Amino acid sequence: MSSSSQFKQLEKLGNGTYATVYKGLNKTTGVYVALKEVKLDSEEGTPSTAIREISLMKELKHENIVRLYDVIHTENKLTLVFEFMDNDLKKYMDSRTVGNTPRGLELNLVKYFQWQLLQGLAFCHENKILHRDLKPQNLLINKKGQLKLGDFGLARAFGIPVNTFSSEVVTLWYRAPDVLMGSRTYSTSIDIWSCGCILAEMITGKPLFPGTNDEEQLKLIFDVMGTPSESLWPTVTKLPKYNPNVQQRTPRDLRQVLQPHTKEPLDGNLMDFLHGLLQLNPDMRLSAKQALHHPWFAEYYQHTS
Amino acid sequence: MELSPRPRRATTSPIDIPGGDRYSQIIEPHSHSLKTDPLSSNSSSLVSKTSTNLSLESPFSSKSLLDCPPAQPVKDSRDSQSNIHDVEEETSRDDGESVLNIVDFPTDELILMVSALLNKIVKANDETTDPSQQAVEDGEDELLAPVLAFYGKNVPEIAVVQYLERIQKYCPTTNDIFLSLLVYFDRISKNYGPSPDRNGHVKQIFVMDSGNIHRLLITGITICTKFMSDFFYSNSRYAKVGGISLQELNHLELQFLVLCDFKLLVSREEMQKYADLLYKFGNDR
Repeated sequence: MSSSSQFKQLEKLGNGTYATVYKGLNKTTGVYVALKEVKLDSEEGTPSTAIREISLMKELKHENIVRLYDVIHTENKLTLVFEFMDNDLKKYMDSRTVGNTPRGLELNLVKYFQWQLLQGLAFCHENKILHRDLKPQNLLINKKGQLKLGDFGLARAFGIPVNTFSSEVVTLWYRAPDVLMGSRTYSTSIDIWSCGCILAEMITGKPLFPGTNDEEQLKLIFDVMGTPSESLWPTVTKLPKYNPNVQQRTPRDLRQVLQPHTKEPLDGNLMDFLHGLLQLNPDMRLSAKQALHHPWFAEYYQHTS
Repeated sequence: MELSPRPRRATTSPIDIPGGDRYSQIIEPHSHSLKTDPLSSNSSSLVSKTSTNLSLESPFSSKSLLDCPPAQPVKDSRDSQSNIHDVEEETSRDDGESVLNIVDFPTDELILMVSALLNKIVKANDETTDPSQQAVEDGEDELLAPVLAFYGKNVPEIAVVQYLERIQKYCPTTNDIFLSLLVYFDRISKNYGPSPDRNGHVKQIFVMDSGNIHRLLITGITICTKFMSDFFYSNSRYAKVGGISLQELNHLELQFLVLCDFKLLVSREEMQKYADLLYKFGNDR
């Protein structure tokens, strides 16, 4: 157990939803860390986000998940000591914007980031943990090109199908259509949809479905992916917020949606892979493990296995 | 930019909890006190007690969950291996009949079984206070502080079953939470297990007894619900229902996390193991 005197607090890195993050220096080892300070609220005690983040990240030791080194506690403050990462994917993409025109990442880098994202996610899912807030801001990167999953404040264990899942999860732009329609029986596929949105965003530099409310979010999704039909998604009409009167749309060609925003040609493997992640029907989406075996990643798994 | 939604069930209406405004009477009765201030000399009883707990793995525990014998001498740790084995064999043999369905099992019945089990453990531990106990050594205070935090001035009078039913009435929750509590209590017993004092006596540090069981329950349920469920209440509601002040609950919450070493994740297999043991205990009663 570390003590706070072991760390020198340096500049502020950001304000999270429930905490302030500082860069820190471990005075004994000379290693930089991220210090996430959580204020203990008088009404709420220890925030549930902190309880989840600490308990889950203590178990998740993987090179594509930000490592939680230690927890320092005092009577009114918890400090989570994390592995230091240079940047997050959102800021990194923003930094590449030229004038007002967002620019995507090179496809080689897109693939490397997506591979690491799915490696980290597959590890979560193997350990029966849903992240439930995957988005570029929560994917941390460093100068070595490593990408790691962070912010497990909304994450939870699954495996026991108890009736205590909320559909108010995941940041709107990355929220799956089944969850938008009120599903509370979702599982790992909730994170896969987010991965699809993130992949498209890395390619073009812009969010794929930037809705401002639940209704608009679904409309943006249906405009591109088509409206769901009972033949392709038999249970869709039973979802709490399913709207039978929504204007019928046919699916657009995803390649035509994305290609204008990138100079590199989007090949068939990539488009097939993206389609595998962005299935409206959650049961049709690839699992993280299946995604890692998709031909788009052939160059990676042929080297590793 | 859209903020991440943080799931929480807000307490909508003003809380009408009987006894809520007289919280001190729920678990802090004004009647005779069995225990004095835990930080005074009496606290030594904590470390000297041998314990009965729930563990599937620790020596003086797995058997006790099923048979609940008087707590066994802590030093017999070498017998533990055979005990674990016995219990595991027993449970696997009984698998066919003793499986409890965590999702569908009626929660009110589960509460009765959990209460009966905890009562037996508490009773056994209350009875086995070692009279030749030593005073707490100063050096152990840091380790002991989170353990001692769960003792009030008096032993709460409300029965465990009534206490759990009250919590379930005003802060309803699901079976997985109650089962996880059993897992946590076992983890704490192991984390704060037998350790030698300065005189070389090996003593169990954390012991569940009538002095701490109530605070362990309300704190455990608060934390576990916040961790495992997307729907939970404010700490102020849990505190009112549990009969302690909000300030105390907030303090105990942190102590409980320390006792568990911040490890709250319970695998499905582990939970099912405890569910089945509990079910077997309930049927053998």
